Amino acid sequence: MSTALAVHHGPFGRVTLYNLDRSMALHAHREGHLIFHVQGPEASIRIDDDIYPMFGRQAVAISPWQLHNYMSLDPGQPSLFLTLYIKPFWFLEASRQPNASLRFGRNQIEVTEPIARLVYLLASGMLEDADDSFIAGYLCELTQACFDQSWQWVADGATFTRCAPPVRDFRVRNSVKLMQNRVSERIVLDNIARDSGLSRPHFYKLFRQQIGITPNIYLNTLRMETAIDRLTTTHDPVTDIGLDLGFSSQASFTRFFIANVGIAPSDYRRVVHFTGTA
Amino acid sequence: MSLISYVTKIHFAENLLEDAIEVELELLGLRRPLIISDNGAGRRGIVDRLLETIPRSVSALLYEIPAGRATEEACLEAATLFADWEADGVIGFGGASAINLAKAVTLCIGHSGPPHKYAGLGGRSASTRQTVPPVIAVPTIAGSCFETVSVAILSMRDGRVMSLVNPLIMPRVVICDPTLTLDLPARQTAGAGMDALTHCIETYIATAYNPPADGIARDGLRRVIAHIERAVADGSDLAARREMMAAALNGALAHQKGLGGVHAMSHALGGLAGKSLEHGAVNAVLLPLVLEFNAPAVAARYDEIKQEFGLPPRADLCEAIIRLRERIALPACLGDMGIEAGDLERAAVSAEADYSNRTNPRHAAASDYLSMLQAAL
Repeated sequence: MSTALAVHHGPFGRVTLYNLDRSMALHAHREGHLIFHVQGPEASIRIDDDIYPMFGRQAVAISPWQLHNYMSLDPGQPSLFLTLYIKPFWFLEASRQPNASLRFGRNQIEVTEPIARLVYLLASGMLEDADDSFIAGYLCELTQACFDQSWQWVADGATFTRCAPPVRDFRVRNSVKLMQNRVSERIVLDNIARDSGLSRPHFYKLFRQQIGITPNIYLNTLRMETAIDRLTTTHDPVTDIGLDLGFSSQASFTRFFIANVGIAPSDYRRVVHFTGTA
Repeated sequence: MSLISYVTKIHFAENLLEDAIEVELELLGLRRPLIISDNGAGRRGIVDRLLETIPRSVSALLYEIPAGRATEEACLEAATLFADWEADGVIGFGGASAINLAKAVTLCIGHSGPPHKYAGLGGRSASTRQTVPPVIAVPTIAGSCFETVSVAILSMRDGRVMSLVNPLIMPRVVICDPTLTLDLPARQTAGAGMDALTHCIETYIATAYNPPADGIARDGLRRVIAHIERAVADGSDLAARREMMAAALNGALAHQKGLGGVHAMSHALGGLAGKSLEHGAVNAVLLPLVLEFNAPAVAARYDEIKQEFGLPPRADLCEAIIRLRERIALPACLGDMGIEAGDLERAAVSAEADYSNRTNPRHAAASDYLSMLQAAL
């Protein structure tokens, strides 16, 4: 079973240390996402349509709203991953790139000596409850190093991520707003389509075109975010959180959470740590 | 929030030092500035000129950096001096060593522990205080002196080179007076000029997106190419001195876009224990090699640089830089500057970790740097 060793939340977003031994569902985040393999058997990760190996020398950078999931994990032998979810706005202050979306130039990141050192410092700092300002400092340096590298030319050629989505149709914008407002209800996507003034097929097509992912995945992300927020900022029972998000039972909520976040909701709540407003 | 930030106050004129120092000391309310200089005995004249400029109501203390190197020891020594003497600000007077040290000293004031505690990007600056004593930067060479940069580079005791990155250490005022460079010997003029050239080229091809910095870098490049040989041949040519100082300032202003592989290696070599290297001359040796390495990653921008050199598109840019280096009589290899084969491996590792490596257009690992350093030896 996958387990969480440490989870830190802060102004930067969140950073987690998970032991993963099972594959996850395709999902996406609104944050910039960096994944480092710390120890254990080699795994792989799918990003959009490409599969990248995950081992010590190879990390991945995933732009906001890029679809991805962990694959080929060994059920008997977990792999330890350090995972960063960086808020684009926090990073913008340190970055020299005029792009608030934290879009990476390419997904594959070579773990150079300086990057490996930062991964080690960050992972051990999280496990030892190091000084909060150091965690934030390492996170910033690590994100900067990977971001910069993703825009550097390499001999193998660049597999660039897709371009930023074009200006969105107001009906799609409306549907996003509706989903955000109604995430705590049982959302029926057909209703969202209708209330945005679109037919069901047109809604799916336009959404996919302009946001880059399907409405279902988008909704999953919203549910995941709301679940994480309530798990970490309230004492509400896990069952209530699941029911409020439209799941019929705690078991189905837990299944959803494991498939999208990697570990169980109660596990997440147990290990989360808040890093000050550095 | 700003990604492209141009806010430093800069005075630029000939024979401006006297007026500007007096006004700025008063505006900043400084009564006891510490002057940090790396000009050495050979350039005592300009140091005396600065000391004579200090108004009667102000008392200044002079600290000459030992061997002209910005080291951790020098930083701690100057910080102790600052505290004991109850100074209220720092004037960095000289080249990059003096100005970097001035910035590093202000960060050490009021903070316990070694300077590397405050090194690093962004987040870690949260552990520093909100204000530091002000720095007035006065370059006395026309090479990049980090006068408009919120980075300070120090050689640490353990042999590493540390970049202190913190927005607090940006100098409050820069005073550029080209007459301060009239006494600079030809060799140093050539080295400083090639440093300015390197800054302009590296920032121009750096990966970050910063159009104002691109414009500034290209303008600086144009000025160096047109005036470097005149300034080296006749040090008293004030017009050439002015243009070179302008080019160096442009190089420093463009720095916020990021540097590249040449500086990653020259910072690393600068950290070698016991070696006092001419930063500009080292850059001049490395520049053609890095340009060649970067060629696959830089497409149209080399053509634009060639235009500034007055070269046709088919011409070899590296060749043109080597010819220029020969005409101003700078050494062609690192071996001529006292660097030995045994130094290279450590320098290559350190170059990979240098912050300048992150914005080099082509991803470079320690092994790439080692090959380039070996070729430069």
